[in-house]
Amino acid sequence: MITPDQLEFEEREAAARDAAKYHSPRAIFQAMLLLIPAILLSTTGQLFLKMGMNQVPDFAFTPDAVLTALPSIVFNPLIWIGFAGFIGGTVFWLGVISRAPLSLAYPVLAMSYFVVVLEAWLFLGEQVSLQKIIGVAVIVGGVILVGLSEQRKGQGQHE
Amino acid sequence: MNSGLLLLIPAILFSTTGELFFKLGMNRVGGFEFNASALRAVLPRIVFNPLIWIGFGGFGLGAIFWLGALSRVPLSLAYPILALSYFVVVAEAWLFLHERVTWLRMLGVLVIVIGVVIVGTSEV
Repeated sequence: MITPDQLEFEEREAAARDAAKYHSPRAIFQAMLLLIPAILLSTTGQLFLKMGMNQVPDFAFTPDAVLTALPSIVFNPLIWIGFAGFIGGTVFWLGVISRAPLSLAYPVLAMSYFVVVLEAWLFLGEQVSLQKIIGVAVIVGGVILVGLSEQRKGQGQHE
Repeated sequence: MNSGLLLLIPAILFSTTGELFFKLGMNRVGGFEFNASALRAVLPRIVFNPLIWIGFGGFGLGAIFWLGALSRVPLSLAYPILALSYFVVVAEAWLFLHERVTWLRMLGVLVIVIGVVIVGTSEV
């Protein structure tokens, strides 16, 4: 008789075999490299959307106001560049998650906060408060911990 | 409880589950190289993968609930709450993908969430 415990065990074993296939140390290293263009493209997309929307007057969320504003959004080349950045970022993100565990890749994606704040300061001249700098530093610290957790897990894999 | 805050629950659940289905889909597609011929070969397998579509559907639904929440609660409150997504994605990866999640990883995610709360509540 197969007990639920055994089933659970076999399911976990199968998942571990899959993980070994997709998440080899080499694949994870590649995934971390692919995260760089994934983050740069999507944050730069965000930057261009913001630059585009800075040219569009504020609009209220009523059907009339949205319809009036729509042409100036849809025909704005900056908005198009922004969306292209998102699409490019998504392609690289798919490359990332085909190689690395989601519980590693997703938290590391939080590095986007650092990049967005940096880009907004550099290219949009936005003011960055001390609180924001502290928050971003804390996020980067968390990402480093998540990265370290992968390294330690990797060392323990041959037990 | 504010109805805007309640809308954040489906916003988080839909978008994180979208991420989960992206991963399930890409586990099936497998790793691909970033050159023109490899991308051409892999693109149809991604575009016609139903799991990827479910993923996009999850993002779309999540975005609708997110916009609904934003129209009811200030961004400086909604955005830090959205940071709970980091916990939810890692929990889903552990539960449904059977990924190994260590205490150090959970600590890292907690620190990230705290950082997002600090950024999200800053005035400027």
